[in-house]
Amino acid sequence: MKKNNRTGMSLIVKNTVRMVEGFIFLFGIYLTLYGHISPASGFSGGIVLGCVFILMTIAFGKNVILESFGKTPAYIFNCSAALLFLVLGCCGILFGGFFSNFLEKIFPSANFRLFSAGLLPIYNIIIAVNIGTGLFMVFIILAVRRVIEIDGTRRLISTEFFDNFKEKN
Amino acid sequence: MDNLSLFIAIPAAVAFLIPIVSHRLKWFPDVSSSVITFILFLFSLETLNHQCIYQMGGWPAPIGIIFVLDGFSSMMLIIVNLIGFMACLFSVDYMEKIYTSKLRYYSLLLLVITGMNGVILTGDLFNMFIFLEIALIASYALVGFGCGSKDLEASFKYLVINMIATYFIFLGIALLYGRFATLNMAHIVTSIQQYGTDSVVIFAFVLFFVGFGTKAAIVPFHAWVPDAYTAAPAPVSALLAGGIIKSLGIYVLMRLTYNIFGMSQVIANLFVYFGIASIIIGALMALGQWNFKRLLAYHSISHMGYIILGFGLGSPLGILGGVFHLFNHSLFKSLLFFNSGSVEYETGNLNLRKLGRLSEKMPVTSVSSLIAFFSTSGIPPFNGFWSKLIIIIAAIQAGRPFSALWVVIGSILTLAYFAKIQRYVFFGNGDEFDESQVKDIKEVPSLMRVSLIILAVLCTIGGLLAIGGVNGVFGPVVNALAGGTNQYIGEVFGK
Repeated sequence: MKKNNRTGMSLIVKNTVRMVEGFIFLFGIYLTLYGHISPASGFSGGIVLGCVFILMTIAFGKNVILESFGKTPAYIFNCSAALLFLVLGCCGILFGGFFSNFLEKIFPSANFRLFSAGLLPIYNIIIAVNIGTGLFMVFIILAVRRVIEIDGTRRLISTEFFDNFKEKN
Repeated sequence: MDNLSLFIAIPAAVAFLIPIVSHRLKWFPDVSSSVITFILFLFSLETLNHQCIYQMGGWPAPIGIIFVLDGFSSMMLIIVNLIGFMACLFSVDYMEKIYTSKLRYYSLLLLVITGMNGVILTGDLFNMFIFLEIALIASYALVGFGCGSKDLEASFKYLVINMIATYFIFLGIALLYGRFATLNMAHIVTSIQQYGTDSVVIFAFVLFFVGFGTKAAIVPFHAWVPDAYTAAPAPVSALLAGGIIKSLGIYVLMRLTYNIFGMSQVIANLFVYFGIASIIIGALMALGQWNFKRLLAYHSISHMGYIILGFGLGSPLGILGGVFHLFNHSLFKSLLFFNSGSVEYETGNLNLRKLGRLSEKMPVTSVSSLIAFFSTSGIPPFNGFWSKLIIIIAAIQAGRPFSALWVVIGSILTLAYFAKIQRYVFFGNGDEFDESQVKDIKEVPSLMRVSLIILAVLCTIGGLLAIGGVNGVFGPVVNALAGGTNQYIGEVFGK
């Protein structure tokens, strides 16, 4: 990812973001992975992860972030995570009920083990991906996408195309 | 059909699958959503006369979340999935011509169906709130799907009013949770029976009445309806009128009233007065409309009044009238919105003044619209006649002859404004009608016609469902509600 282009905010902001982005990202992962045994979860972890991308978009400009992580991968990640969540829920039907914690039945829970809460950490990771990409998508659509009417059909386009379109018309 | 979770899992899975695979398989959204909604409809038919409890994750009530299937939820499942299937079938050609981005549309439509199925089945108050939000948030996007300024304004109005209503519901749930420390609906009933009905419970009921009354579009909580119905694509309007306001509004309100809080004389009066107000105000407002869909929106408000009035009578016959009218209204209202969609599809116009003489050019649309008109106006032998007759008889039996009179007046008004539609759209023409505009018009494509014909046939033969009265087809629904709170506790806890 090229972060030294002219778009985005001032050098101070860019440098500060460069310094903190890794830590915030790590904090998001910590909240997600530690969610099942502490007052955190995939939701709060996902929000923090999504905020890292938003912070980078604000600091370095929309083009930098869209080149490396655009809208299409974001919603494919989002929908895949939701689908995976549902598939795991459906797998539970075979073990006693929808969203049954079947991993706990296969690997009985014990303290200080990796799967001490069965499926819950996996659910947390999936939710974090879903929420993080969802939040990023909402931001991207609100920030860099516009609805325009071309030949009677309405289209959702990027702001740079929107600027070109306005200049032409 | 004991695995009730499939009613939520199947549409949700396809809703998430559509955006992933539709870039490569262009046919996938159309085919998958129609097939899936048809399968759901078959599943819902299988739930008829069936009663069961499904425990999420194997956790029993009141610890875990449960799904409850009884006569009432079974009937609502059939309505919602039938209208969902019809809407998907109608959308194949309609969305192709008028709107873009089918993948987003079908994805959202299936999420709405997921939410509605969840609300109908759940036996947990907070779980119901979550499903309510899933259906509503998806429907906000669907109402503003055209992205025009009026569509977005309507969507925003729909969002703001419904968010306020949702806040009332949320506060009601919080109060009940604070009072009884449980969210399981059957457990709340046992707690109310144990501790009695105090001011917290009464206040929670008032909050629920306002919240779900807004979603049920009864007067005076109806402000979002005309704009939202007019702006939404026709299949979405059909789903809003045929499914959303019934499952998220009427169904939950009646479930809470009859099975959780218990019916009382005060609540009965409240329903009857609000019902009469909805019938008359909705009908009078509809009389003055010149936009096809806006007229149908006010008609919807008016008919919600009949349903509320029927339920408010409290007797088994009144409940039967309310339930039967709810079922019939879903059919003819969806048909009418599909008719408006067909007219919009061919002419690009919904202004009654600018339309005219479509009966020769669009015979299927015209005949189906005529059937819906007879049905909704209460002309025998169509289904609307029987449900209105039952409500009138129930009102007289319950010692409320004036309520019966208002129902008759409402029916006459309905006849008047639907005669206006037939006169201006199909058999005559408006003041600003231009002959050259209808020259190239032909009947709508076959899939749109299929949904019109199926609903028209159901409206014609739907009256047969009234055979047997309170012991007939709708007997389990009447029993589920008339049995009151003890019936519901018995179903859930098996006592």
